[in-house]
Amino acid sequence: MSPRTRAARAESSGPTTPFARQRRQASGDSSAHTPPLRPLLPPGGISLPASVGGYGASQSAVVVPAPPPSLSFLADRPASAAGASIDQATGAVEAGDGREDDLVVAPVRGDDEDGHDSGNTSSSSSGSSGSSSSGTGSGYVGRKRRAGGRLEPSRRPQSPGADNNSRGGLMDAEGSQDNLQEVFGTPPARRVGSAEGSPDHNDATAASALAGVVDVDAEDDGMVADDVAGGVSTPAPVVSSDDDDAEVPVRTLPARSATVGVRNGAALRLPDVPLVSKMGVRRVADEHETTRRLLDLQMTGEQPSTGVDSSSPSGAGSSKRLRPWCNHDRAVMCDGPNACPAAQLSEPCALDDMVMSIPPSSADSVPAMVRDIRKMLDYVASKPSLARGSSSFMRDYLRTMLTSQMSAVDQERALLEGHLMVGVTPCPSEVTDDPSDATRAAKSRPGGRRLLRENHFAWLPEEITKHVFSFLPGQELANVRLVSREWRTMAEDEQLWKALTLARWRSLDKDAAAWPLISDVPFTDPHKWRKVYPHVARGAQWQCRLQKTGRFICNLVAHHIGGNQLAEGGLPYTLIVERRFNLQHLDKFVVPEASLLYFEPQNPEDAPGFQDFIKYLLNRSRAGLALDELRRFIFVPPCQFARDRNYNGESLLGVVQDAFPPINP
Amino acid sequence: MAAVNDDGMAMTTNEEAAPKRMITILSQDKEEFVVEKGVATMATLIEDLLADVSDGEDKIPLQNVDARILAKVIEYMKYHFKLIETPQPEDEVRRWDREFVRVDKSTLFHLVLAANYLNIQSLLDLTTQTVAELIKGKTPEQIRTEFGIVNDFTPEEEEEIRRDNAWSEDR
Repeated sequence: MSPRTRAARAESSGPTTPFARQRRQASGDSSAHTPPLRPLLPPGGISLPASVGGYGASQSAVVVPAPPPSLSFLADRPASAAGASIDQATGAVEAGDGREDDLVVAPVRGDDEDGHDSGNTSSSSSGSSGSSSSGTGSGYVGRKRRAGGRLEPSRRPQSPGADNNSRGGLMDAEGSQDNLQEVFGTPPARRVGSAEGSPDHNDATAASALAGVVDVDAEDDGMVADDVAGGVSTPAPVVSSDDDDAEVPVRTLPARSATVGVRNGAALRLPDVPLVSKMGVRRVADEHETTRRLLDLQMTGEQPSTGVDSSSPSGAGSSKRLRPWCNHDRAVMCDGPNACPAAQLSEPCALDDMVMSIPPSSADSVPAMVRDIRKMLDYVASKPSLARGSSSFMRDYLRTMLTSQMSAVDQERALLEGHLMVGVTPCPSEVTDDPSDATRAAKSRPGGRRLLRENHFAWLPEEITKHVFSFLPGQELANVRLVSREWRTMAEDEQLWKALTLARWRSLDKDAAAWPLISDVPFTDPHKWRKVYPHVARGAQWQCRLQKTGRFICNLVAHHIGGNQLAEGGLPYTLIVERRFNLQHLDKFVVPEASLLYFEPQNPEDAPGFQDFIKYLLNRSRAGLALDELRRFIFVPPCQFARDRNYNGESLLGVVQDAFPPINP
Repeated sequence: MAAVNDDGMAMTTNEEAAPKRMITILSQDKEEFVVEKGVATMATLIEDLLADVSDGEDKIPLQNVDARILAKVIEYMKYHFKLIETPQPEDEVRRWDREFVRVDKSTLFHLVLAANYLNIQSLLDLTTQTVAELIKGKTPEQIRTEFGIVNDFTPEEEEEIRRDNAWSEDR
């Protein structure tokens, strides 16, 4: 540390002195005459070796033409403290718990202790300071980081490399200026994204917070420049350190607190957080840090890591104030309310009563719903660019969330009720039969919560499940065979397929001779019904009403079994047999491509008339003939013609063809 | 007087107390439901039980149905018993039935079991059909998810069934 820089710092202590002039006076650097400061930062600071650590970083900071007036408190101690402490401050802020007090404390604690800290912990805090959200200088730091090389949350270094370290040092120093300028007053908009990103949501992942800051800052670069300029030109209210703590000139400025409140959109929280940013506050926060980190980890289902945790770099003194039930939720998720440190810290959870009936681990619980909603809000907050587009993704998210929750709730209710209904057949009250499924379900939930899926069908005797299946159409029944082996066995029950088949072709179980007309599935096949059903389902059929001149015979179902498909409209509803001709003429009359039909009585009560009609034709060796304008409908009783067409049975076949044979007048 | 679980039941008890023989149905959890004999015997099981016991005995303990489900079943029996005297349009009955089975899955399955146990065919059909509606239109995977069923097929088996099902997909 050169005496000159020290002197500069000492000179710069004048609170009301504009930065620019101070700087000019101190360094004699002509290039630094005018704001904005940032572009004028000497590159030399950046090139400082990382190994210098906090001190080196602060040196680089010192090289900055002139410290802002509010940095005056640094004048009488090693500049390293400035960089390091600010650095730490941003780290502290990053925790996202709205610990503005911590932030304020940090610059204050630019003493030996902090200097020491910076050597150790600043590695973590500076490494993650990019995610700082609620702090004054934090946004700036994040932005600078990004400029230097965007930090992805995933690769946020636990112990930053040398390069990172030095850069961090510089930027922190830089940030300290900006930091203070922000304190003087920053446009509220500046912080919107990051403020949402973390201070309100103490379980927001550091990653999302980081993302938020980076994005916001990217958008706000211009504004920041203005800020800097503004800070330089109007330092006025800031430096009026009306605080009693001589060490901390900047600390509890009314202007600042107001600004922070607005910025973070968390004004509610401010009263809770002591604005007096004493080290004590910070210590309290540190005490809670372990607790909070632990909770965070439980929340996300990670294993607690023993080393420096970059994801939750600092304490969480205010977390319980923010969301008591969320803490509670976490607590219950692990060890129950009594075992949760956070739950003990906070006043008794207001939801305790409710929790009695609905376990907080349930997807049906308010904490679970709150957490899911917060997850979405955090996501939105972390992506400011989303704010410009449609909110459809939020609706989609909510829909998905509700749907998945509803099914979970159904299952959990089922579980509860399963306990109530002890005794009704085998009601497996405990989860699913298969442990692997429970495991899978548990894995699908963050935090390792076990999501119990109830297989209601396991309650049902097989015959009832089959009864359920009996209401399924054939395609669905075929489909559910794919569910599981058990379902396949049940769904392949021949009775089900027989019922389906007979619903379409009623006489098929009595007339084995009809089977060859349909498919090559033999009547003796053990799975004949399931196998023949597709063919029966595919075949066209019509219902019609058979009359003999003026006399109703029966209702018929006609199945198409060969030849041309019938034209649109199929068969006329009423077929009136007006004529007959000798069966011997059939071969002569029937054209090769004629449609071939199989008739059956529609209902059991139609059977007698149907049989009588066949008998009537057989007795006379006649085929019946019905007509419409163009077509001939020939009714063929059992005979050689039928046998030639592969039908050996006792039922009635039909032939439909166009205008042949010609009708003799 | 036995416990009466809902207002409707109490009304029935008061209005038609004298002429009708009342039956007390005891749920598994010892809650008593007092209904007309005609209502009770909509359940074939109760009818059979009543036929077996002496005339003086009109308390039917049911081992396998708890009060919550039994109340629901009795609601069904009463409505459908009333239909015998005062028939409603078929649409109206269908609408009522549809509303009746608009319950959560667990209740629905318990109703299936209760209907089976009490041997109320129409209720069994109604509830199982409703269960079938839960299955309809879902892919096998969706069904598994919905009911927590594990897919225990080998890929080969699955493929075989799929090939077998080809007919159902081109329709």
